[in-house]
Amino acid sequence: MGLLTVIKKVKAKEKEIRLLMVGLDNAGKTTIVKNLCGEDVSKTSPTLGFEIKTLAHNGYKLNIWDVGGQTTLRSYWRNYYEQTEGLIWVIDSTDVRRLEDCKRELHKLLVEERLAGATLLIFANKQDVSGAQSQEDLLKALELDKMGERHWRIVSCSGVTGEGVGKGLDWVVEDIAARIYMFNN
Amino acid sequence: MVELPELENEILAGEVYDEEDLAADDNESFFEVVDSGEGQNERTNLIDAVVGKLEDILVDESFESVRLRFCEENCLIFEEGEENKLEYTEAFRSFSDLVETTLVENLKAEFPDFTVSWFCDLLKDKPCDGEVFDMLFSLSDFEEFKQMMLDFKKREGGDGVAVSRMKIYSEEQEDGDHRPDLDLSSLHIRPLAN
Repeated sequence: MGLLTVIKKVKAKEKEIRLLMVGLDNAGKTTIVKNLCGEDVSKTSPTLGFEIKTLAHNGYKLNIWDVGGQTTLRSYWRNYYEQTEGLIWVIDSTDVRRLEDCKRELHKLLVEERLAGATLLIFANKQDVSGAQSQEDLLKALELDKMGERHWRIVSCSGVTGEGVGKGLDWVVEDIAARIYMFNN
Repeated sequence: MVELPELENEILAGEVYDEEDLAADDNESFFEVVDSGEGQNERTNLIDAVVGKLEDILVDESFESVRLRFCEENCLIFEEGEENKLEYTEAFRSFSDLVETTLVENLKAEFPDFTVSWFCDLLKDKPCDGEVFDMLFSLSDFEEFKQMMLDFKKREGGDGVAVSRMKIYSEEQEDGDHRPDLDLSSLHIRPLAN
């Protein structure tokens, strides 16, 4: 860890948690973030770079990094792994055609050393749309049976209606907090 | 700067607690606080020296010119707006590396034992307050970095004079009268003979 990182950690007044939102393009990452921040979710354009949103949540300061998911952008995800405590993987539950893509990209992340300690929350998004796969079906398709020690969970949600979004966030924050802040409460 | 009086009080309190644990609970008014010194003072002096050196590095002209050159070379990719371009991340990384290298090299030159963990041990339990740490904190933050680049770009757009002071996050003024900051952009100091 570098000198600046150390100073940043020591000086941070609130307990901070860094979350990284990734997933295929059009999965609904930005919409979920907007929903969490209480912003208008009716129009969202594809993210071509990244956005950082800061949110106060249960006494923690969450820094949510929302990075674009288009094919050409995925190779840049690696630049955001450092110090990520929670990984939020968003799936468009209606996009059956690209489930294979989705599985491949997710499994790539799971073998990343820098993300090895990160808690994983999978959002089965767009549950409000007809034709959405259930979280059980998605799990089967994603073949997540070899997760080892990782803390992970799948939560059904809708970024548009907000259903399930808060529940997922609560879980991921609680899990991370128990892991990294249990000794200095 | 580290506030000396406060630090010393803390050290004294700590020492008393360690040595007179039980007595402290029962008759608090009976013992005198004596600074037995030694290791603790040495550490305080070392902390002062390190913080002083950090300050020297940060205000040094060579660091400032490196920073300005970096801004000049990289500010054009920055644009107002909430969404960030992926290139910002690369620029931020280069900038962090630049700052980190400058700090570490200069600290090593003065304190041969310096490593990041040595620094952590030294400052353990000490409040990292003061302008130096505020400045270092600003330098380590992505949003501050983005703002610095945008400010630089905006100013440079004018008459070609590219000067911007580093933005410093700081606490409220605690004592004394508030004075406006020195406008360093209009201040020129030249050595008498050159």
